[in-house]
This record gives sequence, structure tokens and C-alpha cells, in this order.
Amino acid sequence: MKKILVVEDNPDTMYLVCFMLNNHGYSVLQAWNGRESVEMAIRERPDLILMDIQLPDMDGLEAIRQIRASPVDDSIPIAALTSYALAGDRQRALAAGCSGYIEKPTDPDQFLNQIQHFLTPSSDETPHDHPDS
Amino acid sequence: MTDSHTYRPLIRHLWRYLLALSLVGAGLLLCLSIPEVLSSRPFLAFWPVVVLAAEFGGKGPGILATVASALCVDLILNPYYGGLNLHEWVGMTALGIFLAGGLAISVFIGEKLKIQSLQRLQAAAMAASEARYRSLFETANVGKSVTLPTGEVQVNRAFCDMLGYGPEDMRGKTWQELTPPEEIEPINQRLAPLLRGEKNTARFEKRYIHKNGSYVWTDVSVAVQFDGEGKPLHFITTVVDITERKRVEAEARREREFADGVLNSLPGVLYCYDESFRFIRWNKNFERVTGYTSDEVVRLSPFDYFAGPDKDLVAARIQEVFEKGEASVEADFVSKDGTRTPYFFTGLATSIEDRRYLVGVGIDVSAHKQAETALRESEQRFASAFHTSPAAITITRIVDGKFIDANQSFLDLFEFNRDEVIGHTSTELNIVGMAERDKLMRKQLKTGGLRNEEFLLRTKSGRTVHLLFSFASMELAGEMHIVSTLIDITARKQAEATLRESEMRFRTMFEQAAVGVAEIETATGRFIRINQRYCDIAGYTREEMLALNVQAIIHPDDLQADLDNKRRLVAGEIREFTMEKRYFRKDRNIVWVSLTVSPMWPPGATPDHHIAIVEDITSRKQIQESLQEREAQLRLFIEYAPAAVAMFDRDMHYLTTSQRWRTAYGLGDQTIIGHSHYDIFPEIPQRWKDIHRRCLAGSIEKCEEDPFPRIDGSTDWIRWEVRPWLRSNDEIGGIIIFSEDITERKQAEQALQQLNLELEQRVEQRTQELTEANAKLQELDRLKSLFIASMSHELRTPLNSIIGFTGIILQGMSGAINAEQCKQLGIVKNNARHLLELINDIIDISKIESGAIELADEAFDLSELVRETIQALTTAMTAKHLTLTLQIPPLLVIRSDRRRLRQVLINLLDNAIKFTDVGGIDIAFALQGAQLMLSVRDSGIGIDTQHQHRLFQAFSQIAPLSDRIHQGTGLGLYLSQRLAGLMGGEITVASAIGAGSCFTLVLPSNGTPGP
Repeated sequence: MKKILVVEDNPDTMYLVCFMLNNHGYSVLQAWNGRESVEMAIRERPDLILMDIQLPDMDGLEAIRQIRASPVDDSIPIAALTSYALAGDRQRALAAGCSGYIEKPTDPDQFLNQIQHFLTPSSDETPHDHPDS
Repeated sequence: MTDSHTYRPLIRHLWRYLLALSLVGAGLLLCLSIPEVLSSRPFLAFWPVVVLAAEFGGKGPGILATVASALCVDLILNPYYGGLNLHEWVGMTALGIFLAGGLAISVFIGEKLKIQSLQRLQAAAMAASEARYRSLFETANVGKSVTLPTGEVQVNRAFCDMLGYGPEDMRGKTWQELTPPEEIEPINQRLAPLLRGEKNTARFEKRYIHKNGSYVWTDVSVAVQFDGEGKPLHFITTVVDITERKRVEAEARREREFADGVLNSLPGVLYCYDESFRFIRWNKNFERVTGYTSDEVVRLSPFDYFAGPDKDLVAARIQEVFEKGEASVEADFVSKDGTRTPYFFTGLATSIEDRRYLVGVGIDVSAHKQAETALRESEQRFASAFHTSPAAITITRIVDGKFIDANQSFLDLFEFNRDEVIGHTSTELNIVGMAERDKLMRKQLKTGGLRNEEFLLRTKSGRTVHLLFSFASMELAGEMHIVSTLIDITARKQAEATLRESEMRFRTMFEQAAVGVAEIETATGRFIRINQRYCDIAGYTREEMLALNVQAIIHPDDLQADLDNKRRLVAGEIREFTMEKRYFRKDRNIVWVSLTVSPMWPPGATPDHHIAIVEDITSRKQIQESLQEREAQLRLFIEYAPAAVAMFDRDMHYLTTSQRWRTAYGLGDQTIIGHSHYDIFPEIPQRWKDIHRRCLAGSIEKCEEDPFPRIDGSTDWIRWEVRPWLRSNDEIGGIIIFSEDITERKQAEQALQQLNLELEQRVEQRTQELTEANAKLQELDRLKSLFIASMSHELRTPLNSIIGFTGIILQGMSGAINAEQCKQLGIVKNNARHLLELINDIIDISKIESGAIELADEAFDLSELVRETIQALTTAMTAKHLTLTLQIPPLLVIRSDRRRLRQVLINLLDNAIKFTDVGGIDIAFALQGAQLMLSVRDSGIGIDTQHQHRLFQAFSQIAPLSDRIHQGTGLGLYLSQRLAGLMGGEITVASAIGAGSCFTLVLPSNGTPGP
């Protein structure tokens, strides 16, 4: 069972994401802020980290940088989880060590497709955005 | 040695002669012992002689025959001497036989011996000859060689020396090796007759190659020797070195060529003939001048080149040459075509080997002749001019000042005869004034001459003559002379003086072109004489004027005054009058004239003619009028000038003032013109008097603002300027004062300054306010950005939850729902989604408008992007049963912002689907220059042309809201257009109602499109 760490400060969004992931059979870990996300990433070594960029204590980007600087295997994909990011945000996320980018869920099927995509080890290409309407 | 060789055979044969002699002696003894025999047979005495003769003169059988025949004669003749008895006969016969036998034996032996000795002698002679020959061969001082048929040569010392080789060097050499290659074949040809036996020897000149490589010229004689069978054994060659001879020959040839060259290049003709007048030599020039060819020259005699009397003259001179050795003659040289050219010939006799020749030189003297002729003619002309000239001409030798020649005019002028003059000096002639002339002459001599100097001399008889004197120096016969010419102009001078006088008068009267002059008959006014100027003034020709009288041209208004003046003149009241009046010109124009009339009659005499002098003063009149006009204008100008102006003379008297001046200084109607400024204003301060004085001296002074305190305590401001004015002769005539009351202006200026100050303060205040406002605006802008940032997060987060959970419920993840719930939740989801799109669009637009948007610059496959976009919209298209065609290259990498481009594409496609119910959508790609075009064409409702411009405005859908059946934010195209713009492109539209629409996205290709 794949282990996914979700970093999100909004409880509704956290619930929505976790519900979808659980419902699809993933094991879900929850972190509510940046510091916690770094600790859990080091401790739990998840298969995928979904990181909200706007967090209460520290910038999600900072959290990504700390994780990447930690002993955590660099091959663990970290997907930035934002709503409707602009190009500049995405560039910064990639620069911080983020593997890709996932829109906050609106359509369950699309969201799960994207998760699947990140967990497929053969995928070494840059993940693409998916339709949002 | 040679002698022994020669005489050895004689000694060797001596014994034979002794034998023969002994036989003869025995015979003689026999005969003598028988006296009767001898007496009866006298012939026997001859026998020894016969034997000896046979011994020495005959040989072999000849001797025997002689003996036998002698015997027979003896026998036959015997009977005549009485016959023989037997013993006589026997004895005789025996003797005969004995003698004959002895003789025969001795002859035989002798012959044998003789042959042997001859052979020996011959051999010896051969050996001697060969030795001689060899010695000759070796020691000869000419080159000798024996040449084998192979060409190999055996040569002697001289030959070796000649070619510079040692004897060893020459061994084995062939003659071909020693001969220049080009000469080998000719020599072979020369030797051929020898080989054929046609000739014994050949002789020719050839070259040999010296050891040092130079050529040696030789004279070669060749003989050939054959062996017994007629085959050539060898050649015997004699070679004589003739190099020196050749060199001398060449030198001689060169010298001859040089001599010929010199002869031929001489300018004159040069020739040589002998006593029989046969031409031996002549130069080229001779042929050129005479025109004969050399063949013809040979046939001609010297007399053929002359004609007429010249022939005899030339013949005489030729004879003289041969007699005396030398002569010259000038004669016309007649050429072949008959042209005669004067030539000067000189002949010289010369003898070569007892033969006498004439060597002649002829020089063309035609130019000389012509010059001579010309000179002679000029001389004759000069002489004739000299003697017949009316001018007195003398030639004086400079050295002693003596007259060499003087012409008749000179003699006549000074009343001398020729002998008194020639050979004497001018001093001796004692002509008064002549010494002065000589002095002048000497002075001028340096400059070479003098022309037409006027001069006075007194002749012998004391007559003073006025002379025009010229002289020039010239060289005559190697000495410097002076040729002087004196022309008597006494009469001319007098005539001139008279003429000048009358001419002066005439000029005075008529030729002063500036004024018209006429002589008028006083009684009738008829023009007697009139000058051109007068005619011009009146505008008539001279003839017309002479037909008129003066009253005819006088203006009627002036006629009376004119007549009055004339009357007074005639009456003797006045001697002259001058008046200005008008003439009517022929062209009816009026001309103003100034007329001066003077009588020509002496005072008291009867008036007859008078002189009228008229001057055209029309222009003066006009100037006068215009000056008056100008003055009036100026006066008016000054009078009404809007400034206080006054003009003064040098004494500060008023000349004119402006009205303003009089008003300003409270002068009213007071008469001030002609009065002194200082009289009118006695209280004028010294400062102003100084200014006036300085300006009268030429300075210009002014003051822009001069405070002028008033009595009431206020201050007036005055601007003034004082400057001198100039007369026409540039002298200062006085000054002009200009003054202006600028009090009002000054006050206005001060007010203005105040106002400016206030304005500046206000501006500063406003600037302060603006700065503050600007700061507020910047704060507002920051707040706006903050607002957008929070919008993007805060507005969407709840919507995410709404849409997300609606989706989960609709998918039945949280348990089953019924159809009605499903439909209602679907509505919720659609509206939430629409709201999200709206918010997204608004955020995008805000970002674009605030410039906060950043576009990515990345390379990606546009083709893939298009296909992906279509994929996302397949569901919507399928639902409306729309077809889709796609024309795009399979791979098309460009650089742009992929996500934003996708946003635009989705919008365009979404719209196409939205507004199309039947038909389909075509997507096409094209590359045009530096632009790539992606067009989306639909077969939908289309857009009216007049509404198309609203397409790209925010919140604008074409149809009225009531008809709004198409869901959309109304921001899509606006946003797409803005994004396209940010990418450096645009979106264009082509559409018509009912004909569908075509939206084209135009993007710069950025130079990187390609498969």
C-alpha cells in the first residue's frame, strides 16, 4: 500500500484530499504545517508528498527545500498542491525541489489520475497539467 | 750522302765500260796488226765507235741490230774495195762474231746490273723523298693533316698549335669534331667530286673549333689519295689560319659601311667621277635630290644635271678642277622631274693609282638665296623709303657721331648740300638746338630709342621749325648707328592750334551733352543750330526741331513769362535770364527745364541770335516734390507718434516734436519750434544737459527704466533714448530725444511679479499634495495586489471544497444518491465550477492589468498541445454531435508559455463548441513568414460584422442578455486576446451571421518552429 503524505492547513481541503486518497486505497499521512511535514517526511518516508504551498508557519517551498536537504531519499516525488497557480509560482516550486504540480481537487477522477501518475516509477518525464474544466 | 747515292751506280758499272773498252782496244789492235785490212777496209776503223755508241746509246737487241747492220753494210760494201779473200773474210767474220758475242754478253750483263742498280737508286730516292716529305709535314708552318675515310685525323704541330691542342689531345679526333656542325654538310659536298675522282683537289674556307671554343677561320686545300683498287685511302689537307685576314676584312667592311653611313647622312650631295665623267661613287642624298636611281646615275654624265647657261659654266669649272685641283660653282641642280634647285658645288681633284677623279660636294643654297633676295628687296625698299621720305632721316655713327647718310628731306629742311653733311658731326653743322637733341638722344640710347618727341630747331636760315623726333639704334656693318627721323610739323602745329580753338568754341556751344544748346533767331524763335541733347529733351529729331520755332514747344502757362524775359533782353534791360519752365514734348508729356538765354549780339547792337541753354530738371522737380511729400509724411509720423519725440539742432533748438511730447511736458499750443529747449525748461538738471552734450558729440544713450520722482511724492517711471541725427554729409545735425512714460507698465510688472510669487507657492503646495496622493495611490496599488493574492487563495479554497465534495457525492463515493439528488447536485457543481472560472478569469485579468503576470519561455510541441486540448473537450463535442478536422504537422516545437497558450486554445475551442449546433470545427495551422497561425473555424451562428469589435471586450457577449442561452463568463476572449498580446501575437476574427466564425491565433514563430 502506497503511503502518501498530505500537507495542508485547510481542514476541508485536507478532508477532501484524504477522503479521495483513502477511498482509492492509499495510506494517508497528514501534516498541518511545514515543520510537521518535514518531520513526518523524515520519519515516515512516504511514497509521495502532496505539499500545499501556502502554509501557516512556513512557505511550502521552504518545507520542500528542507525535505530535499534532509536524509529523505531525493527520489521521493513531491507534488506542489495549489489552487490555480500562475506560471511564476510553478517555476519557483520546481526550483525549490518539487517534482511536479497538482491542482487542488475538483474532480475526483482527474485528481486520482494525477496521483497515479506521480506514483508510477517509470514516469521520468515532466508531469503535465490536466484540464481544469 | 746525297752524292754517294747518286754516283754509286756509275762506279758499280765501271767494269762494264772497261770491258767494252778492252774489247774495242783488242779489235783496234787486231785491225792495226793487219795494215792492209785497215787500209782496204776503212770502215773497220768505225767499229769501235759503233760499239761504244751501242754501249752508251743503245740497249739490248737494239745494240745487236746496230752491230749486225754495221756488219752487213761492211760486207756488202766490201766488193767495192776489191773483194775479200777467204782468210780475210773468215778473219773478219770471226772478229765480227767475237765482237758481237762479246758485246752481246757485256750488254746482257750490263743491262742486268743496270736494272738492279736503278731499282736501288729508285728505292733510295723514294726513301729520301719520303723523309723530305715527312720532315716537311712535321715542320711546315702551315697546318697539315691526313684524314682517314673514318674522319680521323693525323695532324702536324702547326695544326695543333693553330687549334690550341697538344699532339696527344688530337689523337683519335675526327675532323667533324673540330668543325662547327653547320659546316659539316657543305664540306662533305665539296669533297664529293674528289671522292668520285672528278677533281684532284678542293680548296675552300672553313672554320675550326679552337680548344677554347672560339672559331678559327682557315683556308683549306684538300687532295685525296686512292689505293690500288681505286678506294679512297686518305685526304691530305693543308690548313692556313686566316682568322686575322677575316678580322681585317670585317674591319674593312665595317669601315666602309661607316664611311657610307657618314656619306649618306650628310645633308649635301657627295659624288665622285673620273676624267671620262663616269660616276664612281655618290651618296644617297645625291639620288634623293636628283631623283635618279643608281643605275641611271651610272649612265649619266655630270652635265646632265644642269641646263641652259649653267651647263657651260659647270663644264668650265670642271675643267678648272682637273687643271688647278679645285673650283666652286653655283648653279641650278636639275632633277629628273625638271625641278631646279640652286646648289653650291665644290670640286676637288684627286688621283688614285694614276687615275684622276673629281670629288664634289653640293649644298642646297635655295634658302640662302631666298633670304638674299628678300634682303636685297628690303634693302631697295629701305633705300627708296629713305630717299623719298618726306621726313628728314639721317644715319649717324655712334662712335664718332658723324653722319653716314642723310636724305634729301633733311638737306632741304636744314638747307645743306650733301657734302656739308656726310662725314660731319651734328656739332659741325651748327644747328641751333641740335646739341640739345643729341643730349636727349644719348640719354635715351640706353632704352633703345625714342618715338615722336616734339622738338624745336632753328635752321641755317634762322627759321624755327617744330619737329617730331624719333630715333632708333641699329647695327650696320658691325658698327652701332643711330637712325633719326625728324618730321616737320610746324604747319600742322599751327593748324592744330587754330582748329583746337574753334573746336573749343564749338564744344562750348554744342557738345556739352548734359545740357541742350541751341542758337535761336531771337525775332522769330526759329532754331538755327541745335544740339542733340536739346532735341532729346524736347523729344523731337534734329530735323523736326529745325522746322519748329521755340514757342511751339513752350507750355502755354509759361509762354508769357518767357516772352516777357525775351522782351527785356531785346530791350537791353538784362544781359541774360534764367527761368524754369515747361516744354511740351512731342509725345505730349511735360518736361521741366531750366532755361538760360544769352544774347549773341554785342551790347548795343541789333539783336539777331541768342543762345538758349536748357537743362532737363524734371527728375529734380520730381525729387523735390517727393522730398516735400516725404517731409510731410515724416512730420505727420512724428506728430502722431505714440511716444514723446523731439528733434533738436546742434544748439538744442526744437526742430519738431510729437503731439505726445507737447502733452507730456505740458507745452500746450505754445510755439516751441525754433526755440531753445533750455529756454523753455530753464530748470532742466545738469545731468540732462550732460547727456545732450555727449549725444551731440556722437554717443547714443538710453535708459530702460529711469525713476522720476513727482512732486506729490509718487514715482513715475520713464524709458528714454537720446541719439544724434546725421545730415547727408554724415555730420551730426543735432539730437533726437525719445521718452516714454512706463509707470503703468512698471506697476503691472510689479503686480505680475507678486502674482508669480504666489503661483510658485501654490505650485509647491500642489506638488506636495500630489506627492502625498501618489503615495496613497501606491499604497492602494499594493493593497490591490494583496487583494488579488488573497482572492486567488481565499475565494477558491471554499469552492474547491464545494466542487470536490459535490464530485465525490455525485460519483457515489459517499453512498448511493437518487436521480433527483444527482440532478440537483449536478446543478450545484456546474454553478460552482462556473464561479471558479469567473474568479480565475478575474484574477488573470487583474494580474495582466497590474503587470504582475509573468509568462514562461519554454520549448514545447504545439501539435501535442492542440491534440491534448481537443482531447479535453471531446466529451462536449460528442454531446453536440460535432465533427472535427485537424490540420497540423505531427511535431511542431515552439517557444512560448504552454499553460497560457493552452488556456487560450481551450477558450477558442470552447467558444466554437458553445456557439455551434450543427456541423463541425476545423482546426488549421499555417506558417506565414515569421508568424504562425492557428485557426479555429466553426459552422456556428456567426457574428455580425458590426459587433465583431465588441468580441474582445470584457463582460461582453454579442447576444442580448435575454437571449443568453450560452453559458460563459464573457471574459474568455478578452483574456485570450490579452494573453495573445503578451505572447507577442493577437487573435483575429472573420465571421458573418449564419456563416460561422473563424478565430485565428497569430503568434511570432520566434525563429524556432520546426518539426
